[in-house]
Amino acid sequence: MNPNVSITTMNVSGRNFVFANVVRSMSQIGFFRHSSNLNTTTDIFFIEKEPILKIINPNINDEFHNKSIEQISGAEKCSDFIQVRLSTACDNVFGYNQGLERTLIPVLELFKPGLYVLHEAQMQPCDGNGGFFWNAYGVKKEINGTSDKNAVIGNSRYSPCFLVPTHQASNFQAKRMYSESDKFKLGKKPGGIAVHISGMFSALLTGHHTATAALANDTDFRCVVIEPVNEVVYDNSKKGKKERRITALSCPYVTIPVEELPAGTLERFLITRKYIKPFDFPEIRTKIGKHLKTVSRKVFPSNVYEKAELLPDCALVESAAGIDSVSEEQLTALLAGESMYDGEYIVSNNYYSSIVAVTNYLQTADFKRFLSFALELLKNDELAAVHKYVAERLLTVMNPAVYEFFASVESSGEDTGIVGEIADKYVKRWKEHSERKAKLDDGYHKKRQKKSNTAQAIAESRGIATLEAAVRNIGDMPRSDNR
Amino acid sequence: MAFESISGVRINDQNANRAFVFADYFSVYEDLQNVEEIPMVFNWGDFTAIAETKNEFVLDNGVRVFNIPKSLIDDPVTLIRVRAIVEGAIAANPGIDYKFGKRILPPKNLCIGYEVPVDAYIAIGAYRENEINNSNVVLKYSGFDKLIWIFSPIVAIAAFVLQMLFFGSFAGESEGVNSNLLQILVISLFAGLAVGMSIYLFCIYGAKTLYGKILREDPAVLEEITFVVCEEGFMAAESEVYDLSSIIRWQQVAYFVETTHVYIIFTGNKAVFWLPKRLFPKELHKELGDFIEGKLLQKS
Repeated sequence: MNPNVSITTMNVSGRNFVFANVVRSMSQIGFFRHSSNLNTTTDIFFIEKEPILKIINPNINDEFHNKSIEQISGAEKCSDFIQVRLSTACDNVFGYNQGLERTLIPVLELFKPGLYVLHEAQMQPCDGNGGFFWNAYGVKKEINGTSDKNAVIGNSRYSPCFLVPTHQASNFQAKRMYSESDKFKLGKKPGGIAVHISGMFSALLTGHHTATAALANDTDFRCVVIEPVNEVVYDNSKKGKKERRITALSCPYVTIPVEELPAGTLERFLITRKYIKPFDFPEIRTKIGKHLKTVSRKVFPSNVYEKAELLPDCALVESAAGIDSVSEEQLTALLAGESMYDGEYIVSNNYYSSIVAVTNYLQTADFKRFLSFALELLKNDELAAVHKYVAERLLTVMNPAVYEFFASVESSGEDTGIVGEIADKYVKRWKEHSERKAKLDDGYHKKRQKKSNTAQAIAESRGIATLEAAVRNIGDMPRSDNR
Repeated sequence: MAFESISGVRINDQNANRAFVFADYFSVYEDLQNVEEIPMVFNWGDFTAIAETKNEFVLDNGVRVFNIPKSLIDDPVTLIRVRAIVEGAIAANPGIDYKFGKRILPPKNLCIGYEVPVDAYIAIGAYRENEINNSNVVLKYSGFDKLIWIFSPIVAIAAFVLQMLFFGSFAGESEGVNSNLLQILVISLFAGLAVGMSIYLFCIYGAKTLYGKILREDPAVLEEITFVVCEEGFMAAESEVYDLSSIIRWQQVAYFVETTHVYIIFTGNKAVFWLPKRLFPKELHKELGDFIEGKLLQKS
C-alpha cells in the first residue's frame, strides 16, 4: 500500500493554517506507550528502529504536572533513507523557499497516520531553563513547561518553541557548525524540522548544527514544526455537555473547528489512535534500557552555553503566550501608567503584572518594540515600581541601544538605586562581551581569509568568473548538517 | 492503560442507522445517512459501567446507555480488538464498574503497562479442548470431592438399613438371612458407588458444558495466545493484540492449582489464567512450577 498524505490550507479565524492528513504511511516516526500504571506513564518517541526519547509522566491524574524527557539514543543511527528525506525537505523549505505543501509530503509519509498541523516558527535552542538544548536531556529530570496543560497559558494557542535533540551530542562537529554559520553570514536562512512532543517542547529532527550556529551567531533559528492534532474540544453548553458534542480538534498551535474539517477527516481522527506499535518493535524494545554516553561540555563552543542562558525561559514564554497582540496605543497607555485602554484592561487590572506580561510578549514576538518599550519605561521616573523588573530583563540583552542607556545611567553619577546597580553590571558584561566578540570575529576573519584564498585558487583553476561565486560555491558545499 | 496501540474499530449498525467507533475515544454516529454529522464523542472515563454479555457490549455513562450487539461484528479478530480497546480503557479508568461473561483469558483491565523482560517464560499457541476439559473436571471435582466422599457412604449405609428393614433381619425374617445379607451388602455398596459416579459424571458434564459456554462467548479459545510468566507477573492474551508490553501483577491474584495439563491461577474463586504445560519443553515444567510456586500459594 502506498502512503497517502493530503495537505490542505485552511482558514481558521482569519488565519491560514496548513493541515496534513496522513492516512496510510510508513510509521517510521511516532510515539508508543512503553509502560503505564495508575499514576505513571512512559512514552517513547522513536525514529525507525531507534528509541530516541523517553517521556515519563509521573502523575497522569494531573494534567498540569511536568514530565521528564530523557534522550536515550540518536537518530544519526537511523538509515540514510530517513536522514535524506528530512534534510532534503529542510533544504527545500529554507534553502529554496518552496512551500510546506510541496516539500513536506515525503517527510509526513514517515509519520504515523493522523492529522497534523504544519507551521514555521522561531525556535529557542535551549531547554526552557537556561540550558543549551543539545546536551540538556542526558539525564532523567522533570522539565518545566512539559505538562499537557499550562495554568499560565490557559486556552491560548502557542508554538512549542523549546528544542529537544534527536541526534546525540557526540554527533556534533565544529566544522559543520561553522559551515552553517557561514550560511547565516552570507545572508541565507537555514532552518530545521521539528515535531511537537509535549507541552512547549519539540524534538528537532534535522538542523542540529544549524540551531547551534544560529545561537552562536545571535540569529533567529526557524523550524517547520509538525504538530500532531490529538485533543478534542467539547461543547460546554448544557446540551453539548449532556450529549458530549465536540466543537473542535486542537493542538498547542491551533484549534480547528470541526465544521471546517474536510469530509471524513473527523472520522479518521476518531478512529486513529495516538500511539502506534512500530514495525521494528522487538528491536526497539531491546534498546530502551540503554543510556547515552555523557558528553563533555567542552565539545560545544563555550559561547553557546552563555547564549543559551540568555534565551527566553519557560516562564517568559508562558507569560507571553497569554497575549495575542498589543497595539501601539496600548503600549502608550502602559507607558502613561494606565492598565486600561479604551475602557478595557490591556492585560489585567494589576499594572505590574501587565508590564511583566507585555514585556515578555514583546521580547518573544517583536524584539525592536521590546527594546524601545523597555527603555521608555526605564526613562520614566514615575514608573519606578517596574524599573527593577525591566532592567533585569535587559541585563541579558547585549544590544548597543541598551548599552548606551545603561552607560548613560552609570556615567550620570546620580543615585539611581537598583537601576544604577544593574547598569554597573550591564556595562561590565558589555565590555566582556565586546572583547570576546572581537576575539571570535578575529578568528572568523582569519578563517574567511583562508577560505577566500582557497576560493581564489579554485577560481583560478576552474576559471570561475568571480571570486564571490567561488566563495558561494564553497559555502554551499555541505548543504545540510545531516549529510 | 494498556493496549493503546491497537487500531481503532468502527462498527456500523445498519438496522438502527447508527455507528460506533472504539478507539482513544468512544464515538457514536446517530444518522448514517448524514455525512456531515458531528458524532457524540465520549472519553472512556465518562462511563460509570461497562458490561460484556454473551450478545452485546453495554456502555452506561449515567445519562445514556449504549447497547452494541456483538452480532454486528462478524470477524472474531475484530471482536478481540474491540474487547482489548475497552478493557485497556477500563485499566486506565479503574472507577468503571466492569462485568464480563465466561472467559478463558484474564480480563485485560487487570493489566498494567510493563515491558516483559527477555528472561521471561514466553510461549505461543492455542488452547486444546481436552486440556481445558480435563482441567475443568479437576476443578469441578475439587469442588465436589467432599460431596462424593460424604454422600456415597451415607447412601450406601442408608441403602443397607432400608434393605435390612424390608428384607433382612430387621424385618423379623430369620430364614436365609445370611444369603440376604451378602446380597444387601453388595447392593448397598453399588448404590453408594452409583451416587459417587453420578456426581463425578455430573462434574464431567459440567466441565464440558462450561467449555461449550466459553467457546460460544469467547472467540479467544480458538485463537493463538501468547503466554508470559515473569518476575513481576504473568499474562495470556491473543497474539493478535498483545505486544509484550503489559502484564498482571502477582499481587492481584490469590493462588494456583496444578493439573496434569495446565497451571490455573485464581483471583478469589475465579480462574483467570490457564497456562498449558504442553507449550513449554518438558525439562522446563519443574522449573516453571517451582517459579510459580515461589510467587503464589498452591492449592491442591
